[in-house]
Amino acid sequence: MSEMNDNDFEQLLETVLKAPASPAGLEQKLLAIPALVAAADLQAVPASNDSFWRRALPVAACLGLFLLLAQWFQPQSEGELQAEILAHVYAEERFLASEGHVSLQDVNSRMQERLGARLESSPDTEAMNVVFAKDCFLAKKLSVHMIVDGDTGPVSLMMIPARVVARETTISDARFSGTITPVAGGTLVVLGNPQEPVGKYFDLINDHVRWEY
Amino acid sequence: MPRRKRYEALVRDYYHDIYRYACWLTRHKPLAEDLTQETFMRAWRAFDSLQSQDSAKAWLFTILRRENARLYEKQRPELDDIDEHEMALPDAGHLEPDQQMEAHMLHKAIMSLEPEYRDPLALQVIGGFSGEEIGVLLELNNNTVMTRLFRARNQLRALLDGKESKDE
Repeated sequence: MSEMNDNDFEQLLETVLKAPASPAGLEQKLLAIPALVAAADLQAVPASNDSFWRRALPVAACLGLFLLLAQWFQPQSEGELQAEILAHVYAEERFLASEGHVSLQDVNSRMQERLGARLESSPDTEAMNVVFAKDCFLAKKLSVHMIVDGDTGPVSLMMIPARVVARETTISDARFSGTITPVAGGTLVVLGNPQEPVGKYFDLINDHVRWEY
Repeated sequence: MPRRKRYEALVRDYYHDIYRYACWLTRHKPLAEDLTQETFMRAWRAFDSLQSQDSAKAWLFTILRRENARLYEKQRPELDDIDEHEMALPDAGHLEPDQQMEAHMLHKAIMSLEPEYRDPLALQVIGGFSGEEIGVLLELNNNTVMTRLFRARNQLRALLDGKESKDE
């Protein structure tokens, strides 16, 4: 290959380094962050004995925000949600093989910040080997994604702080199988190998999660 | 200007560069997208600590690097399982055929650079930062930055020309 002059080289370097194009919709997701964070923060406001207006204000703000978000976003179908969840698991596939250990305290600090929820300490939750925990956007909500060591392989547990399905639905493809279930404070997704008894993890989380209203 | 408007201006001004840099930092597009979202969420939460709009770009790149270290660096095996398709050079149809081949070779060469060389180069070319600014971001002195930039270019040119770099 002929040797390039400095200008040509710099131009080519700039072309290549600046080549990755932002994915469609990323700008909208970033612009929506203030509204999503406000919604998550409002959900975490504890009940108090303050005046009616002080208590009503977050509710009114929530309502306003809800109406605003309802205008902004079209509702997502179950099929789209399932596709989004599977795509998310594949995008973070490399973390399925994580060998680290995330303590319950670290999981709770993330859950409290993002969801206004925590997992109660018990022999069962303490025995759960969480190898990965991270917040992510699911169904346009700030959510938490954990990966735990299951009986037959890694199990993804996702907590979405809103009811994004009306009833329990199954989710599966050739590699993963699980459920999306509306629970008291939001939606719980459990996904593992087809042989994995995912109901066990659903029960474990659902029995120990405490939402702060 | 209200806080929210300033944030929106920040997103529009910098999200392309933040995403591009995240791509080169992680060499994995889905992770880069996650990292970009995480960066702007942290930025929004800490928006009041931004001193001035002039320092906004460096502030965002600093958040990005910290979030990458916090979320991914320890969990991501370096270099051994990079998915070439994930970071494939996008359509370079606007280039001449010769340039397309050079672009692909250069892309591959950048992917193979050690992070200590790739990082400052990406900050300089994508972020437009000076050696001194890169030094602050990477916690290196200016001379080290300039040496790494020089060596990075040298290695890339050598790889393009099919030669071994003299610096290796």
